[in-house]
Amino acid sequence: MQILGKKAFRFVLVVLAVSALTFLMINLLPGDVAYVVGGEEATLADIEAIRNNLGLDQNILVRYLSWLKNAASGDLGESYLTREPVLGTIIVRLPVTLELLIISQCMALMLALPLGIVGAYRSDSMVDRFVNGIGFATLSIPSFVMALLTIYLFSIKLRWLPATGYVPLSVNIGANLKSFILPGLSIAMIEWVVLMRVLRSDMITTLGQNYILMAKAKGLPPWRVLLQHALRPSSFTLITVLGMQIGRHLGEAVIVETIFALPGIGRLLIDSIYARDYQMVQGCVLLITIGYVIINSVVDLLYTVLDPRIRTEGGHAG
Amino acid sequence: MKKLLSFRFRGRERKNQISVAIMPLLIVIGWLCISNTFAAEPKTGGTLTFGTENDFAGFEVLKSSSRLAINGSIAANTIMEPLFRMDTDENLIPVLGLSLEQSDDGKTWTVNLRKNVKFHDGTAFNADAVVNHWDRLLNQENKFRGRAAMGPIVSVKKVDETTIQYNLKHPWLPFKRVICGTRGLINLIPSSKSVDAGNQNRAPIGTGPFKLEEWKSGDAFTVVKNPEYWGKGVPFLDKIVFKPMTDSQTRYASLQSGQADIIWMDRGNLINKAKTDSSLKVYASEHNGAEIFILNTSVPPLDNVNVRRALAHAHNQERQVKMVYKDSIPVVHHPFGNQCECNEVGYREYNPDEARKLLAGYNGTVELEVLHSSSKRGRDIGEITQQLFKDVGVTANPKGFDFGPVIKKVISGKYQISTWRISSRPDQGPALFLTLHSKSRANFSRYKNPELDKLLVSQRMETDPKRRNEILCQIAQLINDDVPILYRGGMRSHVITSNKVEGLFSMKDGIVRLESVWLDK
Repeated sequence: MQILGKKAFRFVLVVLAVSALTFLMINLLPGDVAYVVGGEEATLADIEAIRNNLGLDQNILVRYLSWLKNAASGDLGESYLTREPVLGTIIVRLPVTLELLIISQCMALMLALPLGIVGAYRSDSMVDRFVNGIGFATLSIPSFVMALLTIYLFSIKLRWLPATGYVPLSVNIGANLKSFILPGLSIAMIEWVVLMRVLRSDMITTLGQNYILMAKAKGLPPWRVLLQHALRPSSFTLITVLGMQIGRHLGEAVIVETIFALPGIGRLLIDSIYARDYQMVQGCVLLITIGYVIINSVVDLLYTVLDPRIRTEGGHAG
Repeated sequence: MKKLLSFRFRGRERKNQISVAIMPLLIVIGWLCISNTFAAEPKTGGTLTFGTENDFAGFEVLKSSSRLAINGSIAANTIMEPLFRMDTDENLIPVLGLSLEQSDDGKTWTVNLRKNVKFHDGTAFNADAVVNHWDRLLNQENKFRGRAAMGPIVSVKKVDETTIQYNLKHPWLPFKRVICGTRGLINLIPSSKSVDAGNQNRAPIGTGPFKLEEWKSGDAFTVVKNPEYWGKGVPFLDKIVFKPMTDSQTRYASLQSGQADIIWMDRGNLINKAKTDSSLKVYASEHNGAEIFILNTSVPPLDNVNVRRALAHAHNQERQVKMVYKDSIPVVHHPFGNQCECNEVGYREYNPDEARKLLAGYNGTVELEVLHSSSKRGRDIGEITQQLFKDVGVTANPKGFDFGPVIKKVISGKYQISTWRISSRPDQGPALFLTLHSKSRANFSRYKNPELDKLLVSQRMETDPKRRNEILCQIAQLINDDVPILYRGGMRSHVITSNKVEGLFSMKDGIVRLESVWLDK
């Protein structure tokens, strides 16, 4: 209970700090939304009128406190540009980014897990060296290049998969998954390498442990040794990295969602930053912060599931 | 056929013989092709996917008109309609208006409206709808930012249920052009009910051939056929889905791979690529306005006219158009596009020697900050300009910013040179008045010239088309002489379609009309 209390306190602190910092930073950027709303033919008087109308003429602290008060009651305000409710817009966009996140991480794990295990089991073999070589080659390709390459190959040349054309899950499951394969692959092709390397390295250490030797001596087949005895204790770093990658995923989502015309949070955030739509940026950052903290808390909990020793130590500590 | 044509290269005599021999065959083939084209009946049904540059800003004129780019205007024109349109030869096309008559004193225009037309929400289209719309635009309290473009229109009054009158402060030659403009939302008549309910911005209601089905922000703007449309036989399509695809490469790839049927495009390399692709069709429309550099004439060294003239000679518009736009836009000498014909307007051609000569008479070094957008195109413009200016001894420091900061710096006068735009308008007269008259609050170049002021007023009052044309040319001449702006290219819009898209007959000022479009499935 005490741990949960501490976590909740930290959570509130992180959200407050990030939201305040974001508010400050976006307000320090040159130009404001009034100029975007006004356009190229607005006069200074027009700009003043727009600023007044949007409440931008108030002190930054007053604006932040007002936003915070409303946010605490679940009201994230309206977009300065579209006049749509921020929360409503985010809720509509959220499933797209979540789905991209899940699909890309699943793809990355589908590549990383078998290749990491094989790499550890046959370390320094031809296969290991080949996989590592391919891994480093794909790692060095930026996600936007990977996205364009996949479009060129699978969409234009082979015509197997759509370059754009997002279909909601609720409309057609097959078409929806099809529209996520290339975006997911563009992210996964970069992320699988780190996961594979981390797993391989930890598993090589694990395979040198006495209990593995014992398992082998008992005559267990290699797949049982690897999957039942070595995989779980080798997954701690993998899960930590996975948790961090999910947070970093948003940076890639900005690019990938733009290239594949996916209506997700990443694209919404970048468009809002360019337009200096402070309210929308605040809302998006708040959501991302909450998501990031939750994911890392889940990762913490997963440690206890994977390793009973942590559970016990945690119990003692508690 | 290829073999037959190859004979042409084996000598003049042989060629003539072959030409005579295949001529009847070619005539028959040609006739068959032509008759087949004319025989092609439009097919009804189907969904057209339109790849747009970005999502739309909204469709309520007081909120979004200044931010509704071409793509948004194309979508708006499927749902809402103006009273009249103009064809490329400036002939009036009746839409919701049937006739337009000018009073003897030239200050009143009477419009007879189409009867038995209904908005998509079931309310009747009538004089009240038109008057309500214009009242909102003209009401000073609403602070409509496009007010200046409406010139001397004072009021719009209802005469009877199907007749309205535009009242002008003075006779105004561009009136017809202005009320036929389909860019933005000024002339598109919305349902008063929808506007009063505050729904028009996100759920536009009009009388058009399509009605809004759903708008998923950032994803798709879907319109469906209006079964009660007043126009006979149109539209042919069942549905149009406008999909925002910010990245131009993706938009193009979507067209190639069949996810989009038509895309809007402003990247020269992709336009040129599409022209060589037999599975695609490229449509272009030129309009007035210009891509420019705006010069702040109130700060040194640009307050010196000879420095500005030197920069005009150092600047190479042809090279900018070629390298930045890959020749996809025209080189221009004035901002009027096809609107008026001027023979010679004193355009300062690229001439580095002349630039050096002019700069020699200036005491001091010329160092300038050149603002541009932070996009790749913006950076290219900055780099080319830096190089061109360096060649004549001017130090240019290009600085890239997002859209908002550039506007802020220009509006507040804290700049020397910046990329800017003279927007495309039905008539450039009011826009130029706004941009260059010394008393205009939107004169961001801070350029003051009593002679130009006089001409800008004259063009507004002149009722003789020929004389007005001359005045506009004199304005262009004066601009080129004093150089408050430098041209970076004219305005030309492009859409690219797949081969199955047919019936795209009308594209004026970049606005594609989609009611005549059909899919050859």
